[in-house]
Amino acid sequence: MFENIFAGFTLLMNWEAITAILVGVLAGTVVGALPGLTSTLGVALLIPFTFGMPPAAAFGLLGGMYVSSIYGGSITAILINTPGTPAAAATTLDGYPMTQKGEAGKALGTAIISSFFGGVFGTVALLLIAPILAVLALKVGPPETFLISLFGLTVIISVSSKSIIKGLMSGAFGLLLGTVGMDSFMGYPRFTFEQIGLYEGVPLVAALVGFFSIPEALTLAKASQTVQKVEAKIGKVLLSLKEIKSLTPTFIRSSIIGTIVGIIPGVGTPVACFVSYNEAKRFSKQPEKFGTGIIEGVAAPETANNAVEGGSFVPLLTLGIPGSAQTAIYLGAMLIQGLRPGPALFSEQGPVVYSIILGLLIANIFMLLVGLAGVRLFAKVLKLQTNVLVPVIITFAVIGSYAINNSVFDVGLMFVLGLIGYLMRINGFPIAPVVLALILGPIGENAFIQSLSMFNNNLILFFTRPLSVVLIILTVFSLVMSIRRELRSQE
Amino acid sequence: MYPRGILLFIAVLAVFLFFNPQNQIKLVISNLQRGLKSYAKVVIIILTIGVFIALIEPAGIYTVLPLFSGGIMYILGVREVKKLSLIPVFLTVIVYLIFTIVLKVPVPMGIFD
Amino acid sequence: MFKKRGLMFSLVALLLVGTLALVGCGNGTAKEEAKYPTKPIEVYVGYAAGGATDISIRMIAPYLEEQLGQSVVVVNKPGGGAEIAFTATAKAKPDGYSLGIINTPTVIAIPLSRTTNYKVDDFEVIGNIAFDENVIVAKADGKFKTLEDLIEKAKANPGTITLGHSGLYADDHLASLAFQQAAGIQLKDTAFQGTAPSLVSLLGGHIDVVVGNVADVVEQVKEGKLIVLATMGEKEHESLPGSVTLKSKDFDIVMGSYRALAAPKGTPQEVLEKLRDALKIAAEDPDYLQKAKDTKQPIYYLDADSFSKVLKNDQNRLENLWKDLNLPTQQ
Repeated sequence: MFENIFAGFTLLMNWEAITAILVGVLAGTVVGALPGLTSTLGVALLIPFTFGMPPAAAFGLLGGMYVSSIYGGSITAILINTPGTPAAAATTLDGYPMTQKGEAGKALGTAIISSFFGGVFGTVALLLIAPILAVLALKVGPPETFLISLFGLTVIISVSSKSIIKGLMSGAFGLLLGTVGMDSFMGYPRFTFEQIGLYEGVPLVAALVGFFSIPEALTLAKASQTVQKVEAKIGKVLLSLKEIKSLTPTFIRSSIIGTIVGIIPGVGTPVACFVSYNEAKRFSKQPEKFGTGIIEGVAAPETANNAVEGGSFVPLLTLGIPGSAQTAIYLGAMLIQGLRPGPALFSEQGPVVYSIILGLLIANIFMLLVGLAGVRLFAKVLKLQTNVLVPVIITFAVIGSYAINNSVFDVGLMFVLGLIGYLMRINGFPIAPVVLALILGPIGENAFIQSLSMFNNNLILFFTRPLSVVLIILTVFSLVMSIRRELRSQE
Repeated sequence: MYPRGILLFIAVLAVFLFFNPQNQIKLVISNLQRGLKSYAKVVIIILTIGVFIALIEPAGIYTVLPLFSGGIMYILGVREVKKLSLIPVFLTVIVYLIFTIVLKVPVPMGIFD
Repeated sequence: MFKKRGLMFSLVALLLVGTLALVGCGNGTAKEEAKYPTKPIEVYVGYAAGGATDISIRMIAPYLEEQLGQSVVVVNKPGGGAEIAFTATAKAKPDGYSLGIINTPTVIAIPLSRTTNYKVDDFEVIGNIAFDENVIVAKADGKFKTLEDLIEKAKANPGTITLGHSGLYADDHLASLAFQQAAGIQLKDTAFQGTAPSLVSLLGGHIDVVVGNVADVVEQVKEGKLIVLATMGEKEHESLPGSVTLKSKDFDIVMGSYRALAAPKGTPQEVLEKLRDALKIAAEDPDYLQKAKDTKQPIYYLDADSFSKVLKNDQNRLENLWKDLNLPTQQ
C-alpha cells in the first residue's frame, strides 16, 4: 500500500496538479460563500474543465473545489447570517452572534482552523482505514437510517435556545415542508399545488437561501431606518494557543462525528453539523453560552462538515457507490477519466486513487492558507453600508437560487419562503430547526417506509437489529438529557 | 396521514404556546407597539423584490439588476446620484464576471437570448 | 432640487421604457435556418449533473460541437422526475437552439401516470445516444443463486422478497413490474432515492434483490460481490459474460433506458437534417467510441427513424402494462 501512496504522491508533484488544486480552492471558497451556489454545483461546473486534464490534476481541481466550498459557506454564515451552503447552516447559530459582538474575525479564524482540522482528519481516516469504514457503511440499512434521522431531529431541542415550544413548532413546520412533493411509495402528490417544481419536494437550496437571506436583508433594511452605519468591529483573527487547546476535544469529537456521518450514504452534511453542535453543547461546562457567540459553537459544525468529505469518499472509492451528491459527480468525472470505481479500484489503479486522496490533503492545506490570508478581506464585507448590503444580499440570493435548477420558479419559491422566514424571525421563531427538519424529514420518512417493507410491517423487528437498538437507546438518552438541560437553563 | 399528524402536532404546540400568558401578552403588545407604520419601507422593498423576480426571465437579469439595486438603495435613503448609478453598475459587472464568465452558470438572459 | 429629481426620474423612465421596448421586440427570421447554427445550442437534461444521463450527453457533446461549429451547452433542469426538462424541451421555441434528452421509459411513463403539459408526440427525434439495459442482481453469498431460484422462492412466499429500485415508475421499477407480471410472482418493491442507495442496502444484506442498470453494477459483478440473476437486453451483455437474459428464459421482456436527443415538434426540416447528420457523424467518431469503451459507457446510436420505432414500441408496451396492472393514471 505504501508504495502506491508514494506513487500517488509523485503524480501530484507537478505544476499542473498543484495549480489545479489552488484554482479549485480559490474558486471553491467563492462558490461556497455565495448563497445558493452549493459545493455540488461547484464540482459539477468544473467537470467540463477536467476533460483534457490528467487524473491527478483533474481530481485536484475538483477536490480543491469540494473542500473549500464546504469551508466557504461559513464565511457568509458568520458575516451575514446566510449560510453559503447547506453545510454551513449550523454555523450561523454561534457565528453570527459572534459577528454581532464584534468578534467576526475570531469567528472566521475559528471556522478556517476547524475546517482544516476536520478536513485533514477525515482524509487521513480515508487514507488509512477506508476498508474498515466501508464495512461500517454497509451495516447501516434503512432502519438505522431512520433512527439516525430521528436522533438528528432531537437535536432541534438544543438548537432552540429561547423557547423549546417555538423551536418545536419550527421543527414541525420544517417537517411539514418536507412532506411536500410526491411521496416515494405511491407517488401521491402532497401540497404540490399543481406545480411541477414542487413534485420532488421543496428544493433545499431555495429554502435555505430564502429562509436565511431574505429575513436578514429585510431585518437590515428595517434597522437602517434607525441606525445608518453599523460600526463593524472585526476584532482579532488568530486564535490564541490557549483557545486552540481548549477546542481540541471539540475538534476530535466533531471530526469523528463528521467522518462517520460522511460514510453513511444518504445522510447529509448538515446532520453532522447539527449533531456535533449538539454534542459539543452536551459536553460543555457552560452549555447555556451556546447560541450567544462562542468559538465552540462555530468549531463544532465547521469541523464536522469538513470531516464529512473524507468519509463521503469511502463508499465511492471502496464500493464504487457515491455516498453524497458531490461524490456522485466525482463518479462521473472518474468515468470520464477512464477510472472504474468499484471494489477493485484500489488494487487496479492504486496510484491514481491515492493521488485523489492526497490531493484532498493538499487542498486542505491550501484552503487553510487561503482562509487565513483572506479573513481580513472577507470581513470587509461588513464595512459595506446597509443600503448597499441589502441589494447585494438579495441579488445573490436571487441568482443563487436560480442557478441550481435553472428555474425562476425556484427563485419565486425562495422569496415566498423568505417572507415566511421573516415573519418567523420577527416573532421569535428559530430558523435552524426548520432547515434541519426539512432535510431529515424526507430521509427519515423514506427510510421508515423502506424499513416497513423489510419488516413486513412488523415494527418489533427493529429491536432485533443490534445497531438499531443502540441507536434507539442513544436517541432516548439524548432526548431526555437535552430536555433536562434546556429546562434547567430556562429556570 | 403523516402530514396531518404534523399539523395536529403544530396545533397542539400552538395551544401550549398561547396558554403561557406571559408569551401571549408580550406578543400582542409588541406587535401593536411597533405599529404597522414602521413596516412601510419593508413592504415596499418586498414589493420591489417581487417585481424584480417577475422581470428577470423576460427581460434578462442584466437589464433588471442595475435598476433593481439602484431602486432598493433609493428606497433605503440613498440620494447621491453618483452612488445610485455607480454602485448598481459595479454590482452588475461583478455578478456578470463571477457568474457568466468565470463560473459559466446559466442565468436568465431575457432579451439577450 | 426639483430639477435634479426630475432629471433622475426621466432617466429611470427612459431606461424602463427602453427595456420594455426591447423585450417586446420579436426575433427569428426564416433566413436563419439555412445558416443554422449561428449561436450556442442548449440541451436540457432532466437529471442532476454527474448522473448517468448527464454523462451520456456530456461525452458526445464535444464531438457534436465539432460537427455543428457551435458550442453545445448542457443545462440541467432536474425536477418532477425529469418532467420539468421534458416539458421545457417540448415547449421550447422550435428553432433548433433548445434541445433536450428524452429518457425512455420515463418520458412515456410520466404522462401515463399523471396529467402533464407535454405528450410523447411533442418531440422530434434526432437520434439515440445511449441504452442501458436493466438487470436483476443479488448479493453474491445471498439467498438466490439463479433466476429460477428467485422465482421459485417468490412463488412459495408471495410478497416477502424485497426488491430495491431507484424510484416510482423509473425504468428499474417498470422493469420490475414487467418481470413480476411475466413470471407471475409478487415481490415487495421498495423505492430508494436512486440506484446507488439501493445497491448499498443490497450489499449490506438489508434487501434481497435490486433492479438497476448494467452500468451501475458492472464493477461489483466483476469483483464477485454481486451476481446477475438476469439481464433484460436482447442478447447477452458484453460486459457481463455468462449472464442470462430474460428473453433466453422465454420471458418476452426487453427493458432498459434509452437516452435520445430530441427537438420540439415544429422544428424546421433543414435544422433537423443538420442535427441528425451531425449526431450520426459524432456518434461514429473513433475517439468517442474509444473513450466510451474505456469507461464502459453504454453508448448505443440509433438514427431518428429506428429510434422512433423503438419509442412507438415502448409506448404500446407501457400502455398495455398500465392497463394490465391497473396502474394509476391520475395523480
